[in-house]
Amino acid sequence: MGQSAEQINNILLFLVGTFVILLMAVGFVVFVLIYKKRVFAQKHAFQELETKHHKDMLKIAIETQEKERRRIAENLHDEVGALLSLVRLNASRIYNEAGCEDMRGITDKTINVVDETIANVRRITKDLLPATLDKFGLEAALKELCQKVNEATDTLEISYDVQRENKNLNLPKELKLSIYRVLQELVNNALKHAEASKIIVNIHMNEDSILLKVEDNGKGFDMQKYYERKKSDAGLGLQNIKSRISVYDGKIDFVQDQSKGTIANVTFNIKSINDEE
Amino acid sequence: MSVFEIIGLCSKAFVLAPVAIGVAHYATLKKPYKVFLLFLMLYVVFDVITSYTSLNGIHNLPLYHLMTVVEFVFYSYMYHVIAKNTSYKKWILFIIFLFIIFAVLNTIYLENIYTDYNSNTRVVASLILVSYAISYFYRMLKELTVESVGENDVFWFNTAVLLYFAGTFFLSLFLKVFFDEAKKTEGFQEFLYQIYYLQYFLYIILNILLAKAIWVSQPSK
Repeated sequence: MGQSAEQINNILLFLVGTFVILLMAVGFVVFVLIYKKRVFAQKHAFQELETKHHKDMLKIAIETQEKERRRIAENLHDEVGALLSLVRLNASRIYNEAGCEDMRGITDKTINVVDETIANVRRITKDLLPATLDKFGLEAALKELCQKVNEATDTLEISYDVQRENKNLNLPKELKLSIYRVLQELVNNALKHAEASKIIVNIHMNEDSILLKVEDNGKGFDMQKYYERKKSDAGLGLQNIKSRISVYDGKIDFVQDQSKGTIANVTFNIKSINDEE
Repeated sequence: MSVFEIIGLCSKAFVLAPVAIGVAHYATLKKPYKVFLLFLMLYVVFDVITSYTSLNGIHNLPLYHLMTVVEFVFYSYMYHVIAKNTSYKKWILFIIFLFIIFAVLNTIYLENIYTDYNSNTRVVASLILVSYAISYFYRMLKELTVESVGENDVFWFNTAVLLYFAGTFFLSLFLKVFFDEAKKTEGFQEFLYQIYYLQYFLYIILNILLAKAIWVSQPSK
């Protein structure tokens, strides 16, 4: 066909224009995708850094708290405990050398009060510093905790069960302590607030996580209020639990049945420790 | 029927993809897509009528004039729904109003509804729709509210609009000129066919992307 210069110009303009504009449109979409991906990656990296920083701060706070507990427990044991033992020894001497019955009676009462105080100091020391956990591990400490609760009350029955998928699973000391503290707090809550008469503790451990289940037959609490309130409004005990489990990317949730009581499910993510390492 | 006409009909059939998905999932479709589905159905009717009339040599230019306005109004409506900013929404309504006035004036003074192809309105519509698309992408990058674009219907819709209307911009601009050339120059019709293949290709891409947008817009997807 015979085409004029104008026709050729129009055709060229059309072809080049269409090609360029299409290329720009496709390039623009690709740019949007790449840029967005990059910005989101940066955003995620920053969030991860922030979470890590938050976790580190929590870890330090918990470690400081534990150190302080240890210091108080050691002082109570070494100083107050030793002095109380001395008072008891002297009171026993007075009892033996007392001339009259009245004096013996008063001294006997004093000895009883001192014995009770020594027992209380020991109990507080053990609560502050669970030596069994350090020496014999989580299961022994859990057993001791249950025994203590059973001995302390006549109306409460507490039982526990630990299931390990891997017998060689070696938990870090800090994690064991956190599990123990969370358990202490949940049992305490069941006793104090739920007025439960039966508590069942279940621990299930596998390579990835630890599931802690504390079941009671108490009166429960207002779940709606619990889920609606902000973190800062939570009770001190619950805040402590949340702080400890958040270090391990864990979670806590409550299942409540008015006729059966409350079940607290706590998850500790062991994988998070391995990933950090 | 020539090969060119068969390919043309096949590409036009692709509009049935978003229509079929929309109809099949009509109950779970978001309201804007229900409205847009109406437009797509209208487009099917338009395609059937224009294909029939052109195959039978019946004059159909007024339909193209009318459809350009309808198309612009429906696409603008979608951007009106997508826009979060109230002033931006008002701007879109104002632009629709201006465009309709422009289209009417264009048919009266510039491009006759019975004798001329409506290049002016198509070019302006393409420019405005491409601007909407670019401004949406800009807002998407600025606000960073959409993380997974694969599951974001607006992203697919926007990409469809950007690629189709940017790709057909020069076609709209030159089609009237090429029509005139085809009347004057022997053999130019063959070149026009080649151009139409590009239009068909872009039309297929548009409908595939619109189908994807409607598909991912359902709440369960």
